[in-house]
Amino acid sequence: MKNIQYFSHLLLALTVLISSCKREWDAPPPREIPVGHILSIDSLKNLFTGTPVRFTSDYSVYATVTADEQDGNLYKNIFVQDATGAINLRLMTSGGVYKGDSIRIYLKGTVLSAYNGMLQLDSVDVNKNIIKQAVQKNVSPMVITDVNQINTSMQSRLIKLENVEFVTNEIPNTWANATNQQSANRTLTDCNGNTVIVRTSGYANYAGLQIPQGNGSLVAIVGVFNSTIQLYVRSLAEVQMSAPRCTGNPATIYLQKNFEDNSISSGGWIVKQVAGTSAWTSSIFNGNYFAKASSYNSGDASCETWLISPAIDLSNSTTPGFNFLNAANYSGPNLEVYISTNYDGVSAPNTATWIAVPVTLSSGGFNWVNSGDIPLTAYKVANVRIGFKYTGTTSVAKTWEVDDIIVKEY
Amino acid sequence: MNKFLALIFLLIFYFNVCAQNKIETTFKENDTSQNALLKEDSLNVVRIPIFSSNSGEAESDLDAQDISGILQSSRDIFTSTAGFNFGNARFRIRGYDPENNIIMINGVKVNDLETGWASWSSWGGLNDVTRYMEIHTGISACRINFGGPGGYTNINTRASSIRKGHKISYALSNRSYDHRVMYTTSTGEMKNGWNFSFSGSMRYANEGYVEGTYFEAWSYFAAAEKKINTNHTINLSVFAAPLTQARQGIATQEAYNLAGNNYYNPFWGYQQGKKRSARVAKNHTPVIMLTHLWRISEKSKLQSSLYYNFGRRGITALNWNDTKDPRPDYYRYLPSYYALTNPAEAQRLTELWQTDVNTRQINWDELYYANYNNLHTVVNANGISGNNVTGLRSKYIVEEQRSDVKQLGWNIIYNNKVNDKLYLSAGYTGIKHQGIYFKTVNDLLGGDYWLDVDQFAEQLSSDGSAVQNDISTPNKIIKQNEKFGYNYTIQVNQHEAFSQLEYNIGQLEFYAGIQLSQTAFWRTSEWANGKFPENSAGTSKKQNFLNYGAKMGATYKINGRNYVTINGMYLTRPPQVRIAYVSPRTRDNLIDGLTSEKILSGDINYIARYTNIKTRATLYYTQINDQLWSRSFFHEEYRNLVNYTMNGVDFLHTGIELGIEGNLTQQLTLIGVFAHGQHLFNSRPTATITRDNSSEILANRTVYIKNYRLGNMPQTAASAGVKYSGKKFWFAGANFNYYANIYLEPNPDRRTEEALANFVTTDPQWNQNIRQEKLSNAYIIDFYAGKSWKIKQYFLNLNISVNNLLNNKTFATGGFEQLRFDPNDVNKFPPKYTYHLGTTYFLMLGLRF
Repeated sequence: MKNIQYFSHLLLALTVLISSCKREWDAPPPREIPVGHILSIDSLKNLFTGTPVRFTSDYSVYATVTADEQDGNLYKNIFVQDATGAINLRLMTSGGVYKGDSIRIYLKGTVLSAYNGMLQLDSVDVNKNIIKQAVQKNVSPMVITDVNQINTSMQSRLIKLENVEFVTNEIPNTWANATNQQSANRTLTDCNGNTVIVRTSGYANYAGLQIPQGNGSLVAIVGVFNSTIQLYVRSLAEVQMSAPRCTGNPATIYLQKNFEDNSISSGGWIVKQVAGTSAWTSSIFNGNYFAKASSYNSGDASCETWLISPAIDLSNSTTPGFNFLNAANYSGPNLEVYISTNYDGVSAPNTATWIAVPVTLSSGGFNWVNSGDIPLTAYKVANVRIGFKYTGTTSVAKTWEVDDIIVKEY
Repeated sequence: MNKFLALIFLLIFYFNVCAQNKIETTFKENDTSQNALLKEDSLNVVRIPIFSSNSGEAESDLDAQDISGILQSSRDIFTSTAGFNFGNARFRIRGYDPENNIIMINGVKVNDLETGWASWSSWGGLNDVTRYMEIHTGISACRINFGGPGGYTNINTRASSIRKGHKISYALSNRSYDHRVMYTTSTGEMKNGWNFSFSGSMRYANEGYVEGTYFEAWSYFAAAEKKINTNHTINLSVFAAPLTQARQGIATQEAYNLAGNNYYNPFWGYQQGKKRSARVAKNHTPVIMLTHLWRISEKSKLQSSLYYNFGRRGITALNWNDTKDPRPDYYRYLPSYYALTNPAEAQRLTELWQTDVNTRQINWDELYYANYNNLHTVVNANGISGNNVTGLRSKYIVEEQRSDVKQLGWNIIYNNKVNDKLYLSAGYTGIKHQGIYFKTVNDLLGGDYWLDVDQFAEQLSSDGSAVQNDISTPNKIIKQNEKFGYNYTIQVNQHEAFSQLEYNIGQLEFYAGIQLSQTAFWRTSEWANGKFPENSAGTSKKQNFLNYGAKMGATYKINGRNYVTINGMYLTRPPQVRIAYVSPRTRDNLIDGLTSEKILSGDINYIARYTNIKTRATLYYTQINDQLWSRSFFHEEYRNLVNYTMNGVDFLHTGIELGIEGNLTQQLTLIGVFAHGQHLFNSRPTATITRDNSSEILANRTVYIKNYRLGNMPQTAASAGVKYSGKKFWFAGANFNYYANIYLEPNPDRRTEEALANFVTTDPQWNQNIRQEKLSNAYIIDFYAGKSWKIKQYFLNLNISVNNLLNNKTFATGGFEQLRFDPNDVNKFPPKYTYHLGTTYFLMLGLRF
């Protein structure tokens, strides 16, 4: 019994010793970062005279964050604004500053420079150069109703555009190329036809979503790329474009084909081989898919291949029309474009009547050109088809490429 | 004697065929086994005294991290030298991973059911208790378990196994710890049949050999045994070894060179002038074991045990969100990153690394400053609409990754000496295991809260749900000691039965054994992860594996002094549960092609035991097939964190072991030990690369890794030793240890067609990608001495051992190729190396009464 007591005492003593062993660490006292000379954003920007300015003494700018990296559209990159102006901050590491943060920017160590016409404060270390004063102090965007009002002196500012919509041709597109994480430009227009570019990163978490079809408002930062204005949306929640479009109607798209699924035949498109072996195929260059035909070096004494759309029902349309992009290179016969209202979709093309339509063609060098709008008002019936006829031989052959075919209401 | 010489000749022939290097074999010696305390038990007399024994008085630093396998010495000179001397160079007997050795306490298997590894740190510091262990190396007869291809170890923790009296010791060292105090006592068997034993120790270092490695370990052991009558004995043992240890990290040679120190440790840094480590292990997993021994008759006995092992295992690490990497040796903070693009910056960083400790090590104060400055509002915090929480959101925290354990086990072992020729053993073990995995905030580093979201999942969904680690409570605010990140349990149930017959006819002894086991494992999680709402919460499907094993062996006694034995084993065992799930923290997807491992192993041994010379020579051959391999890392090609898994990974272990111990005079003993193995990858496994945060399968690749060497161990090791035992109870000795054929662990992805796609075979970069780095050979000299005195009833002993007498600090014992790599520049993410410690000592003064 004595032994049991002895052991239990020992165990108790050990337990106390073990539990009392915890290392404690002194938290360092807050570090004071001097304020120094205070600059407004406008006076900061005025310090730039064409060569980068590195700050080596104590300066501070007070500002509010207007756009952050949360949606993935911006990376190592935020925008701040005060009463006098706005500027872009380039961060050394991503994260840590959020929309609505009221901050003091301690300039020592940062560099004021310009990038393609855009003034920026570079080499900003969030942990050392940014001192938060408060949070959730949101800046109201400047409201703009006429796209023409946007100019380069508004660069980096937060604006709100009202009564705008994406141009009809862009409607089926996504904000950017989410698959290959490539940025994309989309054209925004007001009801007077004034346009401006909206540029979206392929890393934005909404990059793969379709752009809105309606009319409405959009909040964005004004960016500048040399002399071009490009807008950066800071949050998808601030894109409110679901009202009827300027025409009073929703955008009507009858047919659209951009080949981005790397399929020549998806959506009911057909390829008809009349002579030779070279056929229309899907092809890719620089991440963009399109239809391509070339009989060069094919061994074909003569080649004729048709890319034919599915039947389009235009019986209820008002002013239908279409356009497409095309590109070409080398020398040989030109691409021909036809309309038919009696093709059965199965037989050889020559079993139907095809009416040639004039289009603008690429002059070569694989330069993409728009065909121009081709009216279809003469064909307001149920079985309209568009045919792209390629001809060539093994030695005399142009390469023709076709993309972004759209049949819509004008 | 002629046969002996013939065998030696054969073995030498084998060296010359198998080993390119000619090794000089001289006689060497061992420093152990002064008084092996064998508890004689007529049933337990080891009939074939091959490489088994109970260990002796070896005192060594058994508590370094990564203790594996058999480090305790034993009477077999090869095994004891391999453990005691070669262990410092990461030598592994037969190149095996620890799961091939079965570790038992009182006959109950304690290998972790998820990894197969036994955690030796669970009883670290209880040297006075664990020295009573039985060790067999290789396949052998075993009366308490089927055993593993690498052998088995059984630690006896019954109260009666401790010698009556008191033992107290103090040790001074400069390895993991500086000081050790140990006390052990036992009442012996008292008149009332009770026997009580106690042992406890404390080991401490403010800083071990490696900078920034704090060490504080306690241990306690208590056992009570009651002999109810001549037939029944019951024993209750409780023990644990609570440990707090700041770990050593390893780095690239560039970092070592900049720091001017091959023991540079990136895990620590100064906080307000005090050294603080980011990587601190803290474990406390007590074992309670009740054992009942029933001697049914003179010839048979039945031992039953019930045990429970439970407690916390944790290791801290830095975590960060929306800010820069705080690790000082992150590759972009090293001069080499700028060597080509910005030499001025490279030069600036070189100077900073060499002169500024806050560049070289973690700058804790800066982490606090970053947190102090991160005022932030969490909108709809904890999933409550309108609950906006404003405060300092920690960008940096210290988190603790917990892997707690709860394991209940029971076992029954029956032994029956049927007659003089036949001995029967059988047993059953049942285990219910739970591994409980979660993270907690250990220190907010000056911030007010941590927001539990996954910043790398922000682009996965436009509604923000993918970033949530627990979708039931979005935007979770985490305070000190609260759980976050993941919270899941792996459960394993195992039933295992074995039976063995030993048969003895004159000069021949045979044994044969079989094992059957059934293992089921599954995952349960309380939280649904926003990235995988479908398959992260709840209980996963159970995986069932039925496994079996068979072994046989024979000993031919040429005469009373010369033996030849042959052993063989075929075994299947369930896949390693720990890596069976692709990413268990987020989901329950299993690795494709989950199948049982298959092991085929055999050895042939020659043993001679003369009065003045004892020797053993062994040839072994082992195939381990269908293992899994799984790691997660940032893949340069996919620019993503990926889970890289392989199935069908086969290994081949072949080689030779030789140990000779000879007494030149009564005082002078020489020993020689030699091990030469080929430990190879033996298949071309298929790798599956999965994007960690979407489980999208990015690629399947064939890995051309066959015939690459296993890394991180010398595949050839030799030791020559001499020991002198004086007449007045003193001894001294030295060992010369030589290590060769050490390789870096290869990165499988560098050995794929895809990694080499941009090179023709004649391009030097082709070879740079696929070549396996062989590290330099090295030798280490160890010295030891001891003396003991008897004063009345007091025994006093003093021991010293010095490892690496010549202070060789440039012996790289291993390392690995970083998994992150750039095929166009393999040196962009260079390998990391580990080095053998310089001169270390262990000095101990003990008193027994």
